[in-house]
Parts: sequence; structure tokens; C-alpha cells
Amino acid sequence: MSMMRKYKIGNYDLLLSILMVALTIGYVFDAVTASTEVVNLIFIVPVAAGILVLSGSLILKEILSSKKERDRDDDDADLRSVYKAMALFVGYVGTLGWLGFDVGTAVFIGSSLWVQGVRKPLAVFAFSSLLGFGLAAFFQFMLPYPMPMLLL
Amino acid sequence: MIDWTSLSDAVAFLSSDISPWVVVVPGLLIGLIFGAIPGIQISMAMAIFLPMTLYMDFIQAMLFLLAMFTGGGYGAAIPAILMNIPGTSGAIATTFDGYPMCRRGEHNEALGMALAASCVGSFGGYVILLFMIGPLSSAVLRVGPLELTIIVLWGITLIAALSNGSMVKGVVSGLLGLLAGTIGYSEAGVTRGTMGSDYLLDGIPVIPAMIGMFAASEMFSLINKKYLVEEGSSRAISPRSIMKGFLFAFRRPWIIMRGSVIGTGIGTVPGVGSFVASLLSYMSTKKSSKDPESFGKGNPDGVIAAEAANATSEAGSLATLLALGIPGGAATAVMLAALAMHNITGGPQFIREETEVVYAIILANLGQAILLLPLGLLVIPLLANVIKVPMTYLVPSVLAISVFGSFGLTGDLSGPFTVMVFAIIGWLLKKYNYSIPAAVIGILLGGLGEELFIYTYQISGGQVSYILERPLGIAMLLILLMSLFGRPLINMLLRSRIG
Repeated sequence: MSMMRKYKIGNYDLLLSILMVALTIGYVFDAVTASTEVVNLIFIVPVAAGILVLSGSLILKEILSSKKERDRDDDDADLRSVYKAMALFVGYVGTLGWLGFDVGTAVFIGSSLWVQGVRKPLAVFAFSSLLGFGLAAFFQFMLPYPMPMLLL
Repeated sequence: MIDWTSLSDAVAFLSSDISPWVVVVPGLLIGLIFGAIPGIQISMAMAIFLPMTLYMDFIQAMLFLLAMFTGGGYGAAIPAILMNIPGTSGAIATTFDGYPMCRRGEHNEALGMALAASCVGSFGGYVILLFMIGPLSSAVLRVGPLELTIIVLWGITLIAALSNGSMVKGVVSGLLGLLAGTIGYSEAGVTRGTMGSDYLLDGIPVIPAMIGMFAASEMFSLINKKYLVEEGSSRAISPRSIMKGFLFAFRRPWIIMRGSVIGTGIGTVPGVGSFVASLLSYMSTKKSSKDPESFGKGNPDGVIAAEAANATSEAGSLATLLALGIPGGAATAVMLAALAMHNITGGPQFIREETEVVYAIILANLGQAILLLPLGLLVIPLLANVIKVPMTYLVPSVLAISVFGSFGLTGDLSGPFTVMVFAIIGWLLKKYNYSIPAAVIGILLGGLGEELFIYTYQISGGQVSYILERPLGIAMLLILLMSLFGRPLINMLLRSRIG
């Protein structure tokens, strides 16, 4: 079996370890570029060295392991649900500046319920509006600084 | 050690005037409820209600805020046990065994145990404070960067011990957290890892990151479940089981006492707080247990140890606040603001001249610890009903509250963005068996650890012999080494004797 086929499907564990190594190297490089003073590096260099050594051992272990197939311990349908939830959450946080906490939260909760299979329009609308606007009103009243809002 | 005249004046005052007690019950309830809502920190609740204390006299104001602090300390254990979401950083250690207990249907017992540990631990902490406020505050003045570095190092060594799965992955998580904790301005006056963002100049907002990694990522992991506790019959809220758990904690007096001593001692150290105290108590209980392998899988002793220290650290931080005028963390910083609002400055002079006031505050807190019991028993069945909420509704609700809570902490959208980023990071780490608690500990201790390490290095001039000038530092280092290597060493010696 070629190396391409072995790694093309994706050993995500291996990819994650490689990402960690890359981020660590990038961070240390950024720090060294900013300053080579002892106080800037005395803590992060040993910590980074630890990460590189340990992650290196994990990467080596993954490469040398006899697994040929991608792990399928997670049901793809389960993973899709998680990805949908994450996408909605990212959309919610990303649009807070425009939709505001009130409408944004109500839309997020309503769409989450819908995507997860709740099909009673009244339940979706009532729960999302009550919780969304309720939370927004409560925090707006309590916090001493303004919150982005669309309607409240 | 006790000024008996001032103590009797304090007792007379508290028993003759009901007004200080009027605010204790509402304070405890507010603390319990705010602490139990994932995503909202108790220090935020205290800051929100701080303006109300302007209309109270000084003792009332302190008792109101302290009641919130006490209630919040236990309140934070409720989502920690039920949803693996610590309400405060002090409840992180409670999740290690509290949540596994909940998943196997023992949530009632776990909540009862945590309540007992909080009440008794808090009571014990204030008794220690009553006798030791003077010596404790003197000892705190002797704590320098070296001693603080050792305490933080102690906390960091827990990272390896928290990896129930792969130890290597656990340590990698912790080290990555440490590195992430150093993002922002360094001691050299340059920025590291900010990627040009002004939001990261002060580093990653730590509590929103914690909320993201614990709360939000946990919600993603549970999204395909119907309920937090799968078995329908196990979802019942049983006052009888809660009491059973409550009474069980009294069969572990040594664990509670050890947690109280650790919590009070560590709580006095500014900037370190309940988080490290609960971790150290948890780890020392695990090391001295006959069954250490069961920790992290639902061992009740883990819940009791963590909560006892978490509750008691409040007493320690109060000692530093009153005796030295130094806040130990966000919550005591709010109390310092209350002191300032009443034209009071904490310090040796305050202790000397207003001793009866100090004793009145301590005695009232003893009463609070007792009042927490019935209020906790009242509130648990209400709040524990969250396990009956279908995940379909719970997941978006908790995510939304986390976003609001993080905005409340930072005052801008950097909080919600941090929650979002760390929710995804947390989910990824969990999926590939990296330790989230280790990563969170790393983030919490990274910045502080680096700062203290550098101060120690600068003061010592890089000379290792500097440690010989710090007897307290030597003592703490010995305790640290004993806690890490003591048992294996003793076992080795015993084996060589028998062999």
C-alpha cells in the first residue's frame, strides 16, 4: 500500500499532532523574532521543547503503527450533527455584531432546535424567543456597559 | 491568639441586631443560583449587586457579598457535577469525579456530598481563620515570588496526573495550555502570538476560554444524546439520595479537614486561589487513597476533597483581604471595592482597631456555612432538574448562556469569540483523547507561572543558592517533593526491607 493511500484518507490524530508541532514552532519563532532576551524565552522555550519532544513521539508512534484504515469509531451521522451545531454556533457568534444579542440568540436557538429535529413551530418559536429575548433583557439590565442589540 | 473581649463584643452585636442576618439568605440564594448557571461567574454577580451595598452598613455589605461568594462556591459545583461544566475555576476539580458519578445515575449523592463538604469545609475554614488570622496574614507577607512559583509549579505537576487516558497526550495538553497562557505582552515588553490582534495583547481571556473548553465543547460532545443521564429511572431527583450523599461525607472527616487546611492556606495567597487549592486537595487525597486508580472515574472522595478546599479558600482569601487589604482574585477584588465604598482600608491597623468587626464578620460567616445547608437542600432539587431537560433544548441554551456570560466578563465580543474558538479546540482535544482539564490548568497557570518564574530568576540573579535564603521556600519545596515522590519512595523502601 502506498504512502499516499495510507495517509490520504486522513489519520486525524496524526494531523492534530502535526498541527500542534507547527503551532508551537510558529509561536516560538514569533517570540524569538520579537526579542531574544532571556526573560522573553526562559519559560516558553522549555515548555515548547517539551511539546515538541512529546508530540514528536506521538507522531512517530502513529506513523509506525499498523493501522491502515481511518478510524471509524464515530458514526458519520453523529459527526454531521456535531458539525452542524458548530457551524450554527460559529454563525451565531459571528453575527452578534449585526443581529445583536437579542435577535441573534433567538435565531440561534430556533435554528438549533429545528436542525435537531424539533418540528413544532410553536415550541421552536416560543422557546427561542422567550429564552433569547429573556436572556438579552436580563443581561442588558444587569451589565453596566452596552450590549449590541437589534430590537431591545 | 484570640482577643476574647472583642470576640464577646462581636457575639453580643450579632445576637442583638438582626440586620446583618437579613442579607445573608438572599446573598446565599443569589450566589447559589448564579454559581449554578454555567457561563456566569460569581464575581460577575457580586459586581452586579455591588451598588446595592452602598445602602447597607459595612458589616451588612460584607456579609451580603460573602454570602454570595459562599453560595456561589457551592453553586458552581452543581453544573460541574451535572454537566461537567464548572461554574467557577474552583469547581474544575469537582468535575473529575462528580460528573462520572452523575453519568452513572449518582447525581443526587454527588450533590449531597458536595454540599456537606462545602458546609463543613467552609465552617472549618472560618474556625481556622478565627484563631489564625494574625499568624496567617504574617505568613502571607513572607511569601515571595519563589514560594509562589513553587505553589504554581505544584499546580502544574498535576497536569501529568490528570491524564486518565494517555499520559503523553495529557502532558502535551497541559504544556500547550501553558504556552497559550503566555500569549500577549511578555516581561520583555514585546508581544507574542497576538497575530496583530489588539484583543490578545493582554493574553487569552482565561475564563471565557475555560467556559469554551468545558461548557461549550461538552455540549458538542453530548449533542447526539437524548439526556445527560441516559437511564430514565436514574434521572429522578431524590431528596433521600441527596441526604444519603450528604451523610456519607461525614464518614470522611480527614479528607474534609485536609481540604480545609489546604484551602485556607492556599486561599491566603493572592492570585492563586480556590482553583489551585481544590486541585492540591484532590491530588493529595488521590495519592493517600488505597484506590487511586478509581479517581477520575467517580470516586466520592474526589468530590469531597475538591469541594472542601474550594469552599475553604474563601476564608483564606478573606484573611488576606482584611489583614492586608490585598484581594486574592476577582471576587475579593469586588469586596475590596465594597470596603472602599465604606471608607474602610484593610490592613494591620484595621485588624488592630476594629477587631470586633473582624470577628463579627468571621462569626457571621460561620452562621452562613450552617445556613448554606438548608438553602442548598432546598435549591438542589430545583436546579438538578436540568438533567431532565432534553439535550435538544439544553445544548443551545447552555451555549447561549455561555456567550452572554463571556460577554459579561470581557465587556466586548472578544469573550464570545474566545468561547467559540475554545469550544472547537476543546471538542477536538476531547475527540482525540487529549486532556481538557490539563489544558485549562495550563492556560490558567501559564501567564502567572511565567511571571513568577521570571521574578524569581531576576531576584536571585540566576543563582540557585538563593533558595537557601528562603526557609519558607525550602519547606514548601520539600512538601512538594514529598507529595510527588513520598509514597513511591516509601513503597520502595518497604519492598527492599521485605525483600
